[in-house]
This record gives sequence, structure tokens and C-alpha cells, in this order.
Amino acid sequence: MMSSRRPRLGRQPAWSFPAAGEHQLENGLTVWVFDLPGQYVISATMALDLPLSAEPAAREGIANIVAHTLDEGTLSHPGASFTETLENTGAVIGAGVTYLATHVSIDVPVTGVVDAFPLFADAIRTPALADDDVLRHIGLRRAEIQQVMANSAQLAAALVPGAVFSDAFRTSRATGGTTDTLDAFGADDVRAFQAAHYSPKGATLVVAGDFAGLDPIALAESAFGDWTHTGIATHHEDPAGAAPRRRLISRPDAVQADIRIAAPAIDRADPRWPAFQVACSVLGGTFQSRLNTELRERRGFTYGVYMSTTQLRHGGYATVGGSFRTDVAAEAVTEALRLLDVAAKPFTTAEVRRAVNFLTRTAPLRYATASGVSQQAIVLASMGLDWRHIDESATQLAEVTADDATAAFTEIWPSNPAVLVVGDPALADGLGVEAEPTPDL
Amino acid sequence: MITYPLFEKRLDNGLRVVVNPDHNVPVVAVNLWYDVGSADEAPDKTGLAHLFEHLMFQGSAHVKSGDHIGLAQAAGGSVNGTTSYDRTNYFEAVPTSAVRLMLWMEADRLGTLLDAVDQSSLDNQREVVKEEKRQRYDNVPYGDAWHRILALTFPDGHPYAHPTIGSMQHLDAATLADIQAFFRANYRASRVVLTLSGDVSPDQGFRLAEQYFGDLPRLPGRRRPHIATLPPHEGVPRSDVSSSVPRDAVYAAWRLPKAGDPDLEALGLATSVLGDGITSRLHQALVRTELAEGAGAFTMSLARGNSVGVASARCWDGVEPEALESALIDSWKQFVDEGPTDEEHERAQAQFAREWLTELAALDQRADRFGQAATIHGSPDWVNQRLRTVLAVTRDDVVRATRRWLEPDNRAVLIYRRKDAA
Repeated sequence: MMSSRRPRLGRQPAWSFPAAGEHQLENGLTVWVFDLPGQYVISATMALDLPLSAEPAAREGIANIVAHTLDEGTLSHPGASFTETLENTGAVIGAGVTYLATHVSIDVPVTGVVDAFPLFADAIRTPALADDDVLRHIGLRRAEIQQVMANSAQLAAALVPGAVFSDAFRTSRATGGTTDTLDAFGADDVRAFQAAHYSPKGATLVVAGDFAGLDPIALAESAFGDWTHTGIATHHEDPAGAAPRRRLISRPDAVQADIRIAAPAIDRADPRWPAFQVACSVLGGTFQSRLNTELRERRGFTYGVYMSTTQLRHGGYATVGGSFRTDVAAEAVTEALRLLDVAAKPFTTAEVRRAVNFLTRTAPLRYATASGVSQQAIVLASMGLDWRHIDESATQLAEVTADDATAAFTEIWPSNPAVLVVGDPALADGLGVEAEPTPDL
Repeated sequence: MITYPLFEKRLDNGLRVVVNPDHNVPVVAVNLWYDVGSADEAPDKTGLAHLFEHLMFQGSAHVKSGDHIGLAQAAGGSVNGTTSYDRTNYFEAVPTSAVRLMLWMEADRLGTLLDAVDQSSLDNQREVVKEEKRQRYDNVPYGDAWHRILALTFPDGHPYAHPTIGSMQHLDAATLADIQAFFRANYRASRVVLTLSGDVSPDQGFRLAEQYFGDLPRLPGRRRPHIATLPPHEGVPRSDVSSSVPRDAVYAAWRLPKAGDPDLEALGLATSVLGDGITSRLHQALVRTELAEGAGAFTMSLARGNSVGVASARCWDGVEPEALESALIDSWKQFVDEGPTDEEHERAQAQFAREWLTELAALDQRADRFGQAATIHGSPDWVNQRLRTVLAVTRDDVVRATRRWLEPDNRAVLIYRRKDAA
């Protein structure tokens, strides 16, 4: 007979974040090597210490154009021959920018890594950034802006940094630049930006995978050892918050409203970080979070609602997001704000234990693959943190109490967060705001 | 070539068990493939298989609503289910400490779902599914493209002609009796493949499967209803849509052979050369020339009758869709006439190898592929053979398959035209 008694959990398996071999090349480049048996696709990422605050104000978006044009040809492999040669090894290369850093990554089967690695270095160190490739990528970025403006969920997400941070800071604006700033630079500027800012000092190279029979340090040394520092200094901004406000962006045809509720928060160096992370998880980090239980499972207002945190080098922000059918969207905002009033209903010990268990016990799974390990390591490196942070953080999370989580959240999360709604203009009354047309991005 | 260790057993009630031990991390991926999907729905009850999947998370005799995911997450697991045309899968990857819990909950809902499902859980999840439909398809530019491609590719009433998410009308009409009947007809041990990938031994895996699933009744399995293979399109059927999209766009679709046909792997390599990444023919012909903002091609594998091949391109600002379609087809025709170069062919194989190895590197995705292999291809060992099979496809195989299935004249075409805001 099937048992009606639920099995108890077994003993939690011992686990720690894989230890990295750490090396520093003479030019200042830090290399972390994660040797992961059974991971036959090597994942390598270079995090350049290149925050977007390094962009000239009038030319925002230039770092993004550099990153997207890197694989269109290098000085030694011009034009399409670069990617063709690279892809012949089975490799794929990618690059992008965050507010903190530029990331260039390569995934390649173990069998192709020796051939692919010098090409990966070429893309970072000596990209051609040819005129027509740069101009095409500027055109593609313009097209991307149009796509974002046409997509309600993407538009809502794109408006969050500007709702959270003062416009005196780069972090308040789109990573890829705006239609206006894209007009302000050309291919010469793009090449000059790359030459000045792509530098080994402060950069971290993370390599992860099964290195049986390979010497990853020798690979890194031969690819990047003679790369020289450009002398550029890096400044990481500490953005101030914006005055919170409500906005309704009008979408007359929308069958749903995309909602974001957001506020400035803290970074991982803040002693309240573990407690705040737990608080956000209780509210919107899991299926049985307060927000999802009420708005999805009880009321059927949405396919899902979440609360997430984004950390910067200094500070960060927290966001509640979801899509709701028009006739319940205003009520969803009211209800979400009520659920975010933690002072009115402090966290319980049971809630906090479940969230801590979720955050700590999912680690073996999240970091079971080369790409999982390298992506997390690169995020930490970009914040100036060490890979040991994951284990230290697990220890701190385990000690968070219900009172800690309640105190951290009520201190950090404001009573009047920014509210962004992209949806039917008829929501104006319910939200108490005027509907605006879609802003130019 | 990597070969994953694989052990199989069938319980007396017909449930198939696959164990793939891998002791690198203390995690086990638990995956159940149920041999039922949206292609099994009646034409007037579309969306039922997927709505039913949602109700599988609303509790069973001994599990409270929401606890399946809640308990798994609190134990450190990642959990979900998805519905497709030919199957429904339920999966969780958990630390070794929670394997028994997950197997018990999976068996409880397979054995006793109808003890718990009621009108209020149906009504709630009906609304959730309608929100999912709005969020993923109705409120997204080009969000209905795939549904329109299916409707162009398959005739009305064909099992693949309707989308898995279903229609609002059918979702509204679904009754508790429909849900109960769907469960009784389809959810039984003989139609499940249970896969365990990760830190578990074969003996342990089989013992746990027997312990938790062994008492479920033995009910007949089924022969998958046959779906006839349709011939390639003739006369280029077209659909022209005016929609709130930022740019005009062109999609072309072809009827391809079903999953398991050797031609389908060759066609996968062909669409990779045509439309995967910046070295591809379409990117070079359409994006580098600033006719398109993006272009790609892929194959969608389906188990019965036909699979589908798709090419797509979004117009560069100011380019007419007719001009873009014409350039796309010129490029396509050149490929069909000449085939890939040796270098292109080998590059597509190398790229396939990386993508396949990346997928199998994650235990949860690997377990899902074993479930697919056992359900659709007859044996989980298909996973171990697949890379070998694709690397053995010759350039000539690609040329032959391309000429048989991907002739430009055998396409169907979907055009999106931007509807100007009022």
C-alpha cells in the first residue's frame, strides 16, 4: 500500500562552493580556476573592471557597442573569418555590459579549448571594430530600443533603474544608451574607448570545467600574459535614490498590465545583506512566498509575481514584478503594497527558516555546472568580492532570525516605493495617476 | 565520446524507471515524462492537458495545495512541470536528502490526485493559466507567431494545429468532469517514464521507485495514435497579419519528417548553417546587409507525422517584407542547390556537439532528455548515441535531405505588418 506518511528529509549533504585555484599575472589580471570533473564544456569569462560610469555622459551606450562588435573580426582575423575560425572549434563567444563591468565569455568543448583560447584573447585585446560593423551595431541597438518600447514587460523593466536612482548617476539610465546618445559617437570613438578601457588591471578571468590533461594557467598566461595595462583609473559610483513616484505608461491595446514596484536597497557588503535577502525571499522569492500565495494561488490575478534584488558595487535595488489582467491590476498594486508592509505583519520564524533553507540548500544545484559556477564567480568578481563569499554568505544566512529579517526589511524598504505600470490608460483612476505615452528610450 | 551510465527497469505495473548515476555533486534530478500532450486533446477542448498539469500542483490525498513546490523548494529543490504536444513532464532537482520526499509526492499525485482536485482549485488555476496565456502570447509582440505557424503548417483539426496553451473559450468551458476524465484516461503508471539522474545508485533508484510507485495499479498502456505524415506544402500557403509589432517580419515554415527519422538530424545541421549565429547564411545575407535586424532558422521536433522547420527575419527599418522574403528565399535556394561547404558542415557539427554537451552537463536537462528518449525514441540510450549519430551525418546526407524537405517552393509564409498606433 502507498504510504500516507510523508518521508522526512534525509541528512543534508555536506557541500561547499568549489574552491578556485587563484593566480595573479604580472599585469594585474586575476585568474580563478574551477576544476569541475565531468563538465566537458569549458566556460571562461573575463570581467573587465569597466563600470558604465566610465562612459562619457554624451556617449552612453559606447561600452555596449564595443562589447557587441568584439566578435565581428580582429586584427589578425578580419571580418567573418574570426567567428568562423572560432566556431570551427565548437566555441561560442558572447559579450555584454552591466553597470559594474564588461563581461566577455566563451564556452567551448574541452577538445577545442587550446585552439579557441588565443582567439578569445584576440577578441578582447585586438578587436578590429571596423567602421561598417560598428555602425551596423549602432543600428541594431536602435532597433533593440524599438523592440523594448513595443514590449510591455521589457519596457516596465527598462524603466526601473530610472525610477529608483537619481538621474545624476549613470546607473539610472539604460546600459545600452539611448537614441540620443547613440547619435553622438562613431567608429573612431568606439575604437578609442576600447583601446583606453580594456585593460588587465582589476580584471578577473574565471575558467571552469574539466581540465584533465590541460593546464589552464598556462593557457591564460600565454593568451593574456603580455597584455599591458592602459593606465586608466576606475571609479565606481555610489548612486543616490530618486524621489519615488507612480507612473502609468499607456498601452491602449494591452490585455495585461506589467507592474514593477521598486526601491533602492543595499549591496552585499552591508551587514544587513543576509537578513534583507531572506526578507525578499519570504516576500517574493519562492512559490509559497507571501506575494505569490496571495496574488496567484489565492486570487488568480497573475501567472506569477516575484521580488528580486540587484546588487551594485555600492548599493542596489529591490523590485517586485508581475503581469496582471487589466481589471485587477489596480487592486494588485494596492494588495502588493499591503503585503510589503512588513511592520504590520512581521516575519515568522517558520517563514524565515523556509527561506533560509531555500537559499542555502539550493546551492549544490545552482553551482553544479561549469556555467553555473563561472557565472556566479564572475558576478562576485565584478562586485570586488571573493568566491569564498558564497560559503561565508551561507553561514550568515543560517543565523538570520525572524527579527533580523523584519528589522532589515523595514529599515531598507521605504513606505512609498516607486510604482511603474505599463498598461491600459483606464487604470489611471484606480492608480491615482495620469496616463503617459510611451517615453522615448 | 561521452557515454553516460544507464540502468533501466520496468515495474510490474508498467512504470519504466531509468537511473543514470553521477556522483559529482550531491544532487538528484527526478523527472517524469507522461505520454500525453496537447496533441491528444479533443479539438473542442484545447488547453486541457496544460490546465491539468497546473492542477497536479494543487494537492493530492496527502499533499496540501502548493506544498509540492513549497516543500521541494524548502528542501533546496528546483521544481516545475511543462506541457508540450506529445508529452507532459514534471521534474525536480533536489539535494540527495529530499529524493524520498519527491518520489513520495510524485507517487501521491499520480495515485490520488482526484481525492483533492475540486472546483475551487480548477477555477483558480483556470485564471492563472489565462494570465499565463496573456503574459506569454497575447500581450507580446509576435507572441502568437508560433501558433500561426502551426495553423499554417497543419490542417484544421490536426492534432498539432492548435497551440498547447489552448483557447480562452475552451479554457473557460473546461469542467471538473473534463479534468477527472483526463486524469482517468491518461495518468497511470504504464504511461510514465521515471528518470533519476545524479547521486543515486541503480539499486537504490530501483528500490525507491518500487517502494513509492510499486503499489500503483497496473492499467493498460496505449499505442500512440498514429498521425499520418503530410506531404510538403504546395503553392506557398500564406498568412498576412496586421499587428502591434515594432517592425514587419517574415516567417517561412516547412513540413519536416517526424522525430527519429534520420533526415531530421541532417535538417538540424542544415538549419544551423542557414540560421544559427553570425556566421550563418541568413545572418550574412540579411543582417550584415542591413535588410534585417535579426534572422534565424531552426527545426522543431515532433513525435508523430511531421516536425516543423522555420526561418524568420525581422525587417530593418524601412525594408519591405516582400523584399526581405525575396532575399531570404534567394539565400535559402542557393543553399538548397549547392549544399553546405565542407567547412560549414563541420562547423555545424562542432556547434551541435557543444550545445548537446552543455545541455547534458546539467543533471535536470540530462534527466529530461532520458525521459524524452525513452518515451519518443524507445530507449534512453538514444541520448548516448545522438552525438555519434549527428557527427556521422555527411554533407551529402544534408544535401539530399535539404532537397527533399526544404525546397523554397514547399514553404508556407507568415508575414507580420506593423499596425500603426491610432
